[in-house]
Amino acid sequence: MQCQESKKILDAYVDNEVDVVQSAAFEEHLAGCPECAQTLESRRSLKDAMQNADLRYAAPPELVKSVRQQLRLPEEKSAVPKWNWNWFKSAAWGFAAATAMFALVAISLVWHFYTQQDQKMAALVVDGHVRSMQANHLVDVPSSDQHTVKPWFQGRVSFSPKLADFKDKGFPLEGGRLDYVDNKTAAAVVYKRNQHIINVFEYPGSGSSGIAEFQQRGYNVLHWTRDGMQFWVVSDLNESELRQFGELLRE
Amino acid sequence: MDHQQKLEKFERVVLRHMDSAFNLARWFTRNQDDAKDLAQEAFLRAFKAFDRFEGEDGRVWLLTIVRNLYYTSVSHKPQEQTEFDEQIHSAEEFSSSPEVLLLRGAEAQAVRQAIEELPSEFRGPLILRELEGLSYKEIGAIMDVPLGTVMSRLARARDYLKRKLIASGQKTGHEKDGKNAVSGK
Repeated sequence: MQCQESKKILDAYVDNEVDVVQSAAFEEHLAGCPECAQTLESRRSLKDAMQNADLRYAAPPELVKSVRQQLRLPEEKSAVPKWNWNWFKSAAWGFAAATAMFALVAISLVWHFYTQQDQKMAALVVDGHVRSMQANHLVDVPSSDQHTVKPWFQGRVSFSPKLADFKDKGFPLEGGRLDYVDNKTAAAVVYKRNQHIINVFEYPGSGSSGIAEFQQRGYNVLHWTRDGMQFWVVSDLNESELRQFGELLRE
Repeated sequence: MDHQQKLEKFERVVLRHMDSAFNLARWFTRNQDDAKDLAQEAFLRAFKAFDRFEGEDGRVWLLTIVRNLYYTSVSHKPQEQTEFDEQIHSAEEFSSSPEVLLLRGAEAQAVRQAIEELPSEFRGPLILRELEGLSYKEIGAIMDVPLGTVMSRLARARDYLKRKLIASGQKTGHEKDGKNAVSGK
């Protein structure tokens, strides 16, 4: 290969555009020609200078935007932070909604459970109330004297039932008896309001609650928990008078 | 292919070469605003013609549109005479600095200016080769010239750049020497 020929393929050589045969011939010529070797070296230096000069222009953002707008393409997906944030926000909202939903379901389940329990207990104490009047077994200790009734329970139950004569309030004490509520031994204290019988079932239980009212088979039922005792009050007396009695007993 | 599919394919095959299209347009026009207009027009043309596009190389296809648009616009008629001043007066033969060192030390601004001085027929292949890394075949397709022409234009463009950069390197070198001489007094 001569210098003239070598100079012709010099650029193709530095651009890796010559085949193996040409390449070998060119290199062979270079080995014996300092002038062509020097030219090759300066070509490579020029390429380096171009690479180092950082000559490439990047598309300006406004061009990207206007092209996308003209083609009616959405904003570039590479707008990462906003998109990410939105995703995060929606995920957070989703999570919050799911949590709230779960809490709601849990609360209503628990509520439903307790309400059912209370309704079930109310039914049991109504049973007890009805039974006490059917079997002519209203009281074991017939007395209007709280100092007679209260000691009677000693040794029969493991607690001292709360009772008092409310004769002056129109709820005279009739007496007491032993009964069972939900397989637990309970003190049943009987009061009267005119011709209406009121049964108060007392037995130990934890917690503390206000008066809850139930209706079961035409009877009114009150329930509360206080000082480690459960109170169930059952009567065919009207709601407001029974509530009045309940308030008296709670005091 | 419905409109949505066309958009998606266009984005995947053509639109991702936005930088390449703008870079070529910028070097052709040597002006930021003209380059934006040229590139934008090229994308709209490309989208209209996209139904006829076959193959996968969206970049060569897009750059061909950029080149065609540039030369069909009134102000950039393809120059029939591709001659330019290849006889730059340099003190090459008297220089003590090896040309390799001068080229390597060329400043970015000088390189940029020297390329801009080239006629577009020479500038195009050089940009496509050095900045886009395209093959001679691809450059030939974009510039619509045979392979041999690509090679000879690259050679002449580089010869010009070399002399230009050596000359400007010697000039700045002499200026520095002069300043040193003054401050040395």
